[in-house]
Amino acid sequence: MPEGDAARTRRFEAVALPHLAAAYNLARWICRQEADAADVVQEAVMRALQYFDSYRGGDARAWLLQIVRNAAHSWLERNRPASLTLVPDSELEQLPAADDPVATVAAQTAATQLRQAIGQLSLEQREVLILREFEHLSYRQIASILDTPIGTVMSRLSRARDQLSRMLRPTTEAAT
Amino acid sequence: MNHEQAHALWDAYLDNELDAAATLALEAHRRECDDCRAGLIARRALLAQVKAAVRPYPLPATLGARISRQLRQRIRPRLARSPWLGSLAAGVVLVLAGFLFGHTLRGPPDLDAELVDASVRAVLSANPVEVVSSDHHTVKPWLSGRLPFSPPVPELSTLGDVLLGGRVDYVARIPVGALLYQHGNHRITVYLWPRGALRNPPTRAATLDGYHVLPVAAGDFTAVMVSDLGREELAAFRARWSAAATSDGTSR
Repeated sequence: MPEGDAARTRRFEAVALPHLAAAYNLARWICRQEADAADVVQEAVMRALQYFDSYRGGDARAWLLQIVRNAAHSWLERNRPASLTLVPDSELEQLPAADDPVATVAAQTAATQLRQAIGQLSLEQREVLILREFEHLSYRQIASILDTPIGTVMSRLSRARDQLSRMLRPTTEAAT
Repeated sequence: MNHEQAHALWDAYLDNELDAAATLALEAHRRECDDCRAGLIARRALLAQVKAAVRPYPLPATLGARISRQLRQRIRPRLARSPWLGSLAAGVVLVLAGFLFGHTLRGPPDLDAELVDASVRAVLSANPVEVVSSDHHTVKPWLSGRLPFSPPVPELSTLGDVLLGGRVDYVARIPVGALLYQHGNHRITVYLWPRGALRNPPTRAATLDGYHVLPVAAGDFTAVMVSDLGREELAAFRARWSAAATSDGTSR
């Protein structure tokens, strides 16, 4: 007897919902807007439920993040095509808002600076950095999420961090 | 290995993603290259800075609710067709009874669902409580300052139930106090409002999608416990909570 829809949805909830916060954070960094990210995550979760039969166990977070990442890209293609074109690294883009009211003022300054710097990275560099620094995924997992060779993950991450250290240089040097 | 090639490997090296041969080659190069030694130290510092300072964007509470509601809408009409879901069948009967007999039998079924939704939403969010404290001397004044009433805030920590904190919620168009407790691996939300503030408060136990809703009178207040804890265990918690709420005399 095939598994009922309710049981399947429940099993899906147990697998996917614990990773909702990670999914939202990734979408938020890719889309840059809270409302856009929320739409992307909702769409991605429903898409994930549809694809749930193809989930064969394993890392549920990486599985969900891949769907979220693809949903975010197709969402941006449909709604914000300009944000997908690569901009020169030096060009300023809209900064993510600092919305962390509980942090202390000092920590907030450093965090805000870093957030802004990460927000200025190109989409390509931003997403690889988020998957590594926030989700602590291995290069192999990131490669499978981005559907690229591991070597590409390595070089994108390296360029992203080079760029980040150039942007933060004044404060880094002042601290040493 | 030249400096350019070495530089390209810094990150994989620091991330422990470099194979043994490349690691040896990079370390050999580093011994002869001042730029790589300084660069690797700076890069390590950058990674520590990123790690220490960057926080993920918190999941908006409304998004967790939106998604769980959308998923639940898919489940509800089909539940009756899954008889082997055992304990949930009782919940379905209660929900159906609620829909059929509405306000005459018990509180509006919507209110039970609303309380379950609100508690799931909070637990899914990054900040399930707005005031984080296990001390009722902190939580109670915080709630009193934000609500038009001062609800009882019993501490139960000596009995294996830990107070995690509180928040203000909005249920059936009135502001209510919400206390969050931890019991084992489960969380229990206790909603509180002045007795009589709601026309049809829940008066009976209900089960919705695996969540139990247990109302209890607490002095001048109505309290409703919501949790995925087992029904008997939640009833035991309710007894401990009520005893503590009465004995510490905080209920006004």
